Amino acid sequence: MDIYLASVLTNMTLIAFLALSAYLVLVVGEVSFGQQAFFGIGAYITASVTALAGAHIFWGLLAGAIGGAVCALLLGLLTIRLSGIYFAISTLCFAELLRFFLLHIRFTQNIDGRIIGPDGPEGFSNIRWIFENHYEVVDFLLLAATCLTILLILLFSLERSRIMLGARMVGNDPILAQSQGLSPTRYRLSFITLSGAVAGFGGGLFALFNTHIEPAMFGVMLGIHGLAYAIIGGLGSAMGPLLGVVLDIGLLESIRQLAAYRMIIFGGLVALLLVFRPEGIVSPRLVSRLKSRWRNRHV
Amino acid sequence: MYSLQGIGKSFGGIDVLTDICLTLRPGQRLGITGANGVGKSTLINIATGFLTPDSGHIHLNKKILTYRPAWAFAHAGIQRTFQTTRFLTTANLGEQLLFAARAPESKIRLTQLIRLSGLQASLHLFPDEIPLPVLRKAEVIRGLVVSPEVLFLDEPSAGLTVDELDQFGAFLQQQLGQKTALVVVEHRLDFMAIITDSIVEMKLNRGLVKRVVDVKT
Repeated sequence: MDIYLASVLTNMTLIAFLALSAYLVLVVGEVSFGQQAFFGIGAYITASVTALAGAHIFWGLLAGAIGGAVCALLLGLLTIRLSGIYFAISTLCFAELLRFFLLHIRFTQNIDGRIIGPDGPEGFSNIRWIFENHYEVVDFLLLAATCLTILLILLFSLERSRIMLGARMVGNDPILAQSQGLSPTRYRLSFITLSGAVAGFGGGLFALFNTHIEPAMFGVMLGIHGLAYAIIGGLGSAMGPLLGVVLDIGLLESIRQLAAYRMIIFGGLVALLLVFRPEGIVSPRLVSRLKSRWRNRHV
Repeated sequence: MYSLQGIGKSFGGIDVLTDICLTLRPGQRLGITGANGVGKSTLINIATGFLTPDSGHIHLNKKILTYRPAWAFAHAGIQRTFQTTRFLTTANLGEQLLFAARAPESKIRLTQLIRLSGLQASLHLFPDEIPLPVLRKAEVIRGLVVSPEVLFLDEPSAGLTVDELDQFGAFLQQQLGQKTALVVVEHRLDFMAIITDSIVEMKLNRGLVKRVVDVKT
């Protein structure tokens, strides 16, 4: 496979984690501008566990996911009484706070003549896992795609269970949800925590692939892209955010002739979709219709 | 046995409810009527946990429900309908009724209720494609499938014609079990006369809500 193609696909796979994490928060009815922070935290933790502590990649990614989840849970608890615009602005502040915190972490070590570890604004260099394990771009793409597939299978089984419909109720009409015996607070906290884990895991893969990370990479624009992918893709199913990723990174960023106009086309696309299809391309209604049609055919 | 004892509620210094007491036996059918603004909706919201009373207690079979969140009321078996029907607009009716019927016996009851109410044709539709009388029925079914201890209906007649109301009343009459107590908050006495055993009137007295008064039919 062409290296350019492979790296674009890998990039898409990694950003898909971010888009899916934004999706999980959107499902429970909130907009988060802070998922990039959990992505960043996951990246730093995975980098530290694998490059500094020398642990296996499994433990590195697990620690990244847990770190993201813990930060997200903390955010969820702090914003337990907030919703709408107040929640959104809090997530933005929380994310920037975490990023500034990363700017001040310095813990470098000299391992085999290489400076490894977080070094303030300089970032975390020499995450050499893919070199040490002789991973080519295509190999890494396979690894990331496998992880994403597993996540998607988990999300689809969640989608088939009562939990997702409950979450949608909480997101659309908390009063209705309560009358159905669902605790909006519990749903929100669990989904925000889960979103942190997903972002943290994706961040971990991102760190391994990039071999160098720095706080500036996890700025607001990254989170806004993740959010926009989920919104244009639609909240009907986990396929929505993926479609958003494919549309933006797959088409606009990767086709070189279009790349210069990317932000113009992308911004216009978001605006058009919000006007003509506010529930996104893969809207909940579309999915519900497809599901019942499929069921009718197979009963 | 469900009881409200000495319930009081005020909004910004205006006492809406003072010392309201109400006890419901299983199978009892009670109608509550009263002029606009006497606090009927406030009472139903407190009784189902959507508002917290300033004073008083709420018990269900010796369990204390006061200050519990609304979802815990629903869990305990207190179901309600809303003045404007509430459904998720992004899932079809069938999915949502199935969601409400969690236990296996509820699922059996659901298929029964759907058959009896003639709701089959609407199951694959989204709530905003379904006419109001059908949605009202669906909302009652959603409450009934779990065999609740108490079912509160908040103005079920709103938006229904006389014929539809008769049909709806007959359906309710047939489907309420012996276990469930029913409370209907309503303006239409003719409708309540069909489905309830007794009707009480809430009254404002010098700006205060008087005790629930019996007006036997």
